[in-house]
Amino acid sequence: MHKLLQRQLKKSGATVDEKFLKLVDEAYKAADEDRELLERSLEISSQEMRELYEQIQKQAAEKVAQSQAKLDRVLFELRFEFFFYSYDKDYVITYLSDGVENALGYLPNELIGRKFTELCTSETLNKETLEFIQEILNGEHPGSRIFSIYHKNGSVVYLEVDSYPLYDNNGKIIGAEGLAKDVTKSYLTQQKLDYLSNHDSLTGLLNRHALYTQLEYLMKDSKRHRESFALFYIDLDNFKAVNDTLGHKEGDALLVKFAQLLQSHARVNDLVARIGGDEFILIYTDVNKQKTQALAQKLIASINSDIVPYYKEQKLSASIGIANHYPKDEIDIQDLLKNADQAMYKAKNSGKNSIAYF
Amino acid sequence: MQLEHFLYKDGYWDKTLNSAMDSENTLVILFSSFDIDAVRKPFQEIIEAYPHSLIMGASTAGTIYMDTIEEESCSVTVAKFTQTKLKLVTTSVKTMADSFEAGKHLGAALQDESLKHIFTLSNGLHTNGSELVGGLDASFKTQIPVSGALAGDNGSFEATWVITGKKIDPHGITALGFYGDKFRMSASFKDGLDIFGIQRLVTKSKANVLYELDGKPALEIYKKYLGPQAENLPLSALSFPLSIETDEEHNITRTILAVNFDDNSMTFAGDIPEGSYVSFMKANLDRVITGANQAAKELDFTEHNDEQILSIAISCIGRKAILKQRAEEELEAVLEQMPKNTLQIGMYSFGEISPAGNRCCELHNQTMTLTAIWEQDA
Repeated sequence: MHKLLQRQLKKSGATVDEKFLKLVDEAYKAADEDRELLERSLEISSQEMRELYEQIQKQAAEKVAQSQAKLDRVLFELRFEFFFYSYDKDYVITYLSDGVENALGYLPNELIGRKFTELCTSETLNKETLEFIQEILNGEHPGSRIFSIYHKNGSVVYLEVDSYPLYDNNGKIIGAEGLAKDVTKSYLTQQKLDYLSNHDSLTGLLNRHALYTQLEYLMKDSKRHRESFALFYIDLDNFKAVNDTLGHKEGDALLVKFAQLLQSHARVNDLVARIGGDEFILIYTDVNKQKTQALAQKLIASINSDIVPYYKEQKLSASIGIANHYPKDEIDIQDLLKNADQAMYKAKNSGKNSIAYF
Repeated sequence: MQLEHFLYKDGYWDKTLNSAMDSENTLVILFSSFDIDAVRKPFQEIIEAYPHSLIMGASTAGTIYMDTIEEESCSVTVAKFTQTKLKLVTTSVKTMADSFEAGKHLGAALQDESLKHIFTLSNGLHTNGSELVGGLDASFKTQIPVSGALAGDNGSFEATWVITGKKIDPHGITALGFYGDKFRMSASFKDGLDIFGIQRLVTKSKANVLYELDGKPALEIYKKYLGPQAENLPLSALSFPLSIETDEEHNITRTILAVNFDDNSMTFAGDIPEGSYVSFMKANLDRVITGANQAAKELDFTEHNDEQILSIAISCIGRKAILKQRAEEELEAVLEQMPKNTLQIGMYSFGEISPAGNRCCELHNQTMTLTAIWEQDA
């Protein structure tokens, strides 16, 4: 009989029905068994949870260690492609990672303490670049930018530079830091591709596609800055005879020579393009009627003195059609070119080797 | 529907069997905790008293009558339907591998447009309950609610039986179809158990036989938890059923049926899929009892007026083992929720079958499963 039940019976002195006593005794024992089972299961379960927790902790620590090792490996492999840097508000370099040697040929200590602007080419060290740096020093992140930097051996290296503001412990900006990647190869390849897609392969002048793009900017600028420009549509008269009598090689040489002549008459902001076999466009910016006329006459004179004498038999000459564009003009590129083309035909029809205005 | 109940105990019926209720539309349900030899005599007397009726029955781990659990007795319920047609089909399985086909066969045999419900009783040790309900579920194009039980025994997990026609078959399965527009039923189930401890991966199992959890012998884990009570395996393992995590909203509970000390395996009353995650469950007695009450609350009586109800309560042997002397409280808890004119019968089983979610039936363990049946007045 259950000890508690024995004590209770003894204390109370009660006489209880045997069947009833058996039921109560069983219930006492069952309650004890249930309690023991519950306590035992709770203890084992808690132990299992502790073990599981330790196991998870161990696995997590192993994972972190594995990740760190992987990160170290990646960083080690990337040291040839990237380097980390920081500079202060006066552009003085304060930190460089070892990768800088691979990119610029300098050891970190050779550059730390120097102004990084000393290493920039004039191509990079312009107003936009200084504004870009200033934005970072003002706490912004304007994205990445290509910097052209002198290598220790004197060559130019293109670096893609991503910068973030560098803060001190009080949250005050003390400079900038970031990652630089040598992109010289891809940058130059891209430059070359850009050049090829925008230039005529024979003469090196702008092609039709590039001319349209440039003209679009020019027309917008014309409106904004209230400046006029003149579009010269130039066609070589009897160019076919040069090809037919002297061959295509000589024809190509003429086109190259003619392109050089046009370029020699263009100023920095002017545009020269070849848009067809013997059709050229010259755009004189910031001109008026008088200036345009003077330039056209100068051009015809130059053609007649420098080109025409070599192709007398072929009766080579040039016809120039001119369309002026004024800031108030509401005209699109197609129509502007059409107008100049019409003027060029007017010049041709009036006996060639002449100038006509639209 | 007319209902009568008889109890056979100590060699006597509590009242004379009433042959006047015998008809082709009469169902006689026999639940008994007797072994196969002891039940033969009362069964024979039933066959003689109800020659035209459909008789089904199964061995139990305790027989339910109203709010009482009867041991060493035979509980017989006679239900005479007036407008409902009945059809009884039976089959037998040699091994557990036959279970799915057996379910399909029974479902197909009962198939009919006017079929409203199936109540099935299967042996508890030779049938894979999960496969049986899978076969039944696969046999219907439309959703037919199926409820029932896997037969039990006195807790030794050694021998169960099912009445198949005029035979008592340790390998038998029987299924009864209810047909007609006036037949009404509602079914529900609840356990009231709590998941505890860590989740464990089933690393080795085959159908309903579990070998390893987290790479360790499952039986060793149970022994560790049971302590001195491991001596009473497999009965004592009923204290810790397994909850199997599923993709669906509810987890599946599985209760233990047998242990094999030679290969450290444990046989459950349903599949324990390899690769699934399981947790131990434990019972808070009050919550188990409340669970039974909750199951009754979930029954749908919207189409019930004052008709007499036959409530078949199938409760798991595991609940009885946990509740011990308080087991009858769960029967009281169910009856509290039932309409007044309810005759509650039932059994403690090795597995409960009841509709679940969008499936016509599912095998449950450790639940109180209720099937309320009535016939609407004309």
